[in-house]
Amino acid sequence: MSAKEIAGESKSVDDGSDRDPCPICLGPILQESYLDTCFHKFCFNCIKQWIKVVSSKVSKELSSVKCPLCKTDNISIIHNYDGHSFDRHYINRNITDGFVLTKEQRYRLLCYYAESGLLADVFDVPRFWKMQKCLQPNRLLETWLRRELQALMQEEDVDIVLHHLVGVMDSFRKRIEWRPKKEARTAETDQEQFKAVVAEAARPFIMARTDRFVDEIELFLASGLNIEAYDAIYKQRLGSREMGAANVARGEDNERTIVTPYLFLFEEDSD
Amino acid sequence: MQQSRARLFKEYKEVQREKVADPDIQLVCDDTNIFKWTALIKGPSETPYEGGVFQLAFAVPEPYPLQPPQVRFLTKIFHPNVHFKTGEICLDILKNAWSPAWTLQSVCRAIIALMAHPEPDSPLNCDSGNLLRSGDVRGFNSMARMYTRLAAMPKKG
Repeated sequence: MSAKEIAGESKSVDDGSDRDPCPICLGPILQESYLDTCFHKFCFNCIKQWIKVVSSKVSKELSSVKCPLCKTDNISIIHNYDGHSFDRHYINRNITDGFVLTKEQRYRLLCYYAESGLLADVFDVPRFWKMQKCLQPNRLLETWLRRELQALMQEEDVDIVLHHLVGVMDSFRKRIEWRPKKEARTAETDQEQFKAVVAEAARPFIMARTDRFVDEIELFLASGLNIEAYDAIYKQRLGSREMGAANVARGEDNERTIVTPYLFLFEEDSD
Repeated sequence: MQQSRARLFKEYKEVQREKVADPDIQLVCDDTNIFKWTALIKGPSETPYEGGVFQLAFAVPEPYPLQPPQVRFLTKIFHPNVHFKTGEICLDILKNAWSPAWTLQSVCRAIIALMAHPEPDSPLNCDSGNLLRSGDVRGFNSMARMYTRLAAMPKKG
């Protein structure tokens, strides 16, 4: 082996970025992303460019792409993974185009990313548990849950997760309903257990936002409101706060309205 | 342009590193143009190409690796999937089965594999394909070996 070759070799070992390169550019991976089935790793831009090339060769809309390394069919690229959540870039843009979050769902996402406890003073959550209102089935829960799940998971078909969660909540309710009187727990224990059980069921799907999601379920149930009314309250709180912030920025903070307390009327209605 | 240049440079470095690892392939980049490469490949053993050294010319397109390189034999070869006059190669990975994960080095390996396993049903060289398709392996082997001797072996004495 010549000296030049040895030098070349040691140089290549030093270059750590080359150890696990992107198979397309052969450089270090930028914006690490994975194909959803075979989990081969590429730069986000490299694999996106390749998909563009592939789709330009076919007349039909592409719904999947073969992995450049193993030829496995994949329908999306997973990227922006931060340990908790990730984004999905579908090969067939119609999947995302076909399922666009509604205006309400986009607004709900905003709610999930707003600070928690925003509505803590509006609804009487402890009373909900003390009165064992959780024993009353909520007819609106499924519809509401579907919307929330679709928004949080950014997927249209959430049936499996929805039924899973509803089932978990139903069985929790039955356990409380049927347990002997002497085994009755405090409202706080019930509340804790409920949240723990629902969180455990939701976490694999909702991940980083799970705790917030469980708080929202509790809040929605405790509110006893229908979906529109529940949203209206959020809009009053969050919307007016945002508007307030904007107004301050423009130096005209004369219109920072506070939520009107008519909500408690609803609560009495709910019985 | 910049992307393909960067990638070809990586391949160049890799080739320098692998030279010892694969004695059957010798890839050389043009001194002045990184988009032009030539390769010398050894004819695979137990084939009529054994003992021959074949030269390939690579023309790398600007969108590489999103588009495959154009490769042809500079050395004359009698093979069903290589055009006898132009050296053009009929190989799926150089056309619609191309993947950007292929490299010039791995394309060379694929061509060596094609030499060992001809596909007489998609021939560019019909005479050669017909010999194999009619089952005349002996006839094919002797033609292929003759051209290997004539074109791919250094002349002695």
